[in-house]
Amino acid sequence: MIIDAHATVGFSLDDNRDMSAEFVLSLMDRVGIDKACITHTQCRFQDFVEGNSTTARVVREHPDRFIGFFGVNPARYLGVLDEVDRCLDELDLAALRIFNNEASFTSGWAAGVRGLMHERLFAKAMARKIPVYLDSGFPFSVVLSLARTYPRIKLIAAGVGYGNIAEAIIAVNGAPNLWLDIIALDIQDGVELLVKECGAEKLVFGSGMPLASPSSPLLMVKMADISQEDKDKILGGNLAGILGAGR
Amino acid sequence: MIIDCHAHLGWWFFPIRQESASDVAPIMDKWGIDKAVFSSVRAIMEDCRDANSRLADQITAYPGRMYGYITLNPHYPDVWRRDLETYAGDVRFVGVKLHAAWHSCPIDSKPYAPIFKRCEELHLPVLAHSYDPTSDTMSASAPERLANVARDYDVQIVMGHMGGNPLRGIRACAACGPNLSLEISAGRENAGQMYAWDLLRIRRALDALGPERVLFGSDMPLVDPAICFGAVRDSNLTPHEEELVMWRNAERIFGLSG
Repeated sequence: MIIDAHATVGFSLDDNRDMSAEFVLSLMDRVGIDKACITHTQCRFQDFVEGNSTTARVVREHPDRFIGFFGVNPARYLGVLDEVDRCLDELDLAALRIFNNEASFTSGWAAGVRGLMHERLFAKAMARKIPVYLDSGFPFSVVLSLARTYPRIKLIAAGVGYGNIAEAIIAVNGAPNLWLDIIALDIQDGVELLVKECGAEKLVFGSGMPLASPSSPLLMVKMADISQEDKDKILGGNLAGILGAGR
Repeated sequence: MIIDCHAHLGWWFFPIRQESASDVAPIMDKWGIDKAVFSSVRAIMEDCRDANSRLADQITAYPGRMYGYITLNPHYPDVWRRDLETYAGDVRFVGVKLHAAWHSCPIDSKPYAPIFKRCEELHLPVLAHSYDPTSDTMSASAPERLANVARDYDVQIVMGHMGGNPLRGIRACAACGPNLSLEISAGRENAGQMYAWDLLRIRRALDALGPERVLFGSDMPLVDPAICFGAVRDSNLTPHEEELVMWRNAERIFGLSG
């Protein structure tokens, strides 16, 4: 079974394009992805309560195809930690996705993923024993420091590519609770390198649908010179283990 | 048939083991790439003086399979003139590679003018690196600058990486004549710049410019060909579009029919 750790539904702010759940489903069918973890775009800069409720509704409509991740914007302060509880207790969402809002919010106010509100958020996630997914763009030195600060959080970090693969290898080998999403992995034989240096057990597959081509990371794994057993782990087995039974 | 018009030979400051022609040939075999055009990493990132000759030595062992770009650094006119005259008539070399960002020189500025003039006289096509100008360095290779050059010279210019920002690359191409085309390779890193590996980029280019102005490139072995083969797979090309994108356009522009 192929499980995609990174898909998004909602609305595209800066480009008129289809980001509907139906479109994501059509892509999944086309390329052979069985299940996808989705988050709603509204969780970035608008009412995340409504956004997470929409995610939960979409998952309820397609329980065999979607797994719901939730998001909050820590800068909102009001209701952020309560929303974590609501997403887990009422909406049955599976994990917290940390958007890289700093990539879009450039006023200089954003505190970064090591900011004080993120600190509260991570503490909450650890207390509630939920996995946390980090979007691309955070330095792996910071990712490793987060993993070590919150050792009981299962942390999945996206963003490893040719420029930072050395950092990513050291980071993932430095924390047993850290996994890498290969969503941005592009370096020649990158999957083989990561499997050799970190082990297939530390890698998960994410596509970036519907913004990015899902077949690119799929081919990175499918064409890699590694065992079928390792491919199966990367393409879904590891993520299923992280998310736990029933997902 | 598959022709990859964006490939490299040389040493990378990333963990990439494939440096020589014999290292890269198996990658071509694995992906069914029949022909590829390579530029020297050394000429882009370090010393241009001996880099093209080193590349010539490498590709000699693969006639009809591996071709070369003459990579030119505008800051060294004696060297680029020597290399251009030396290799322009060499069947191993089929075009010129320019990397305005690494060479910190705007592609439409004066130092490049004599290069484009000579390429025009020699009927040599150019593959020009292009990326989204999010910094001063990268702005040297902005898509809009390439469009300026394409309007000024009768040279076939291929815009590498679709300009990094495909929408801007497409707009720049649409503002020029048919001598400016797009090459589709793109790395997948740099969060917040997802447009470089946008699901829709190839389809949008085809719809806006027609299939004659889009070329397949992988950027191997910096970037694994999986990235661009995946992007093509997700673009729903018609058989006619696929034939043009995957080889016929490159064959026409670089004269690779022999």
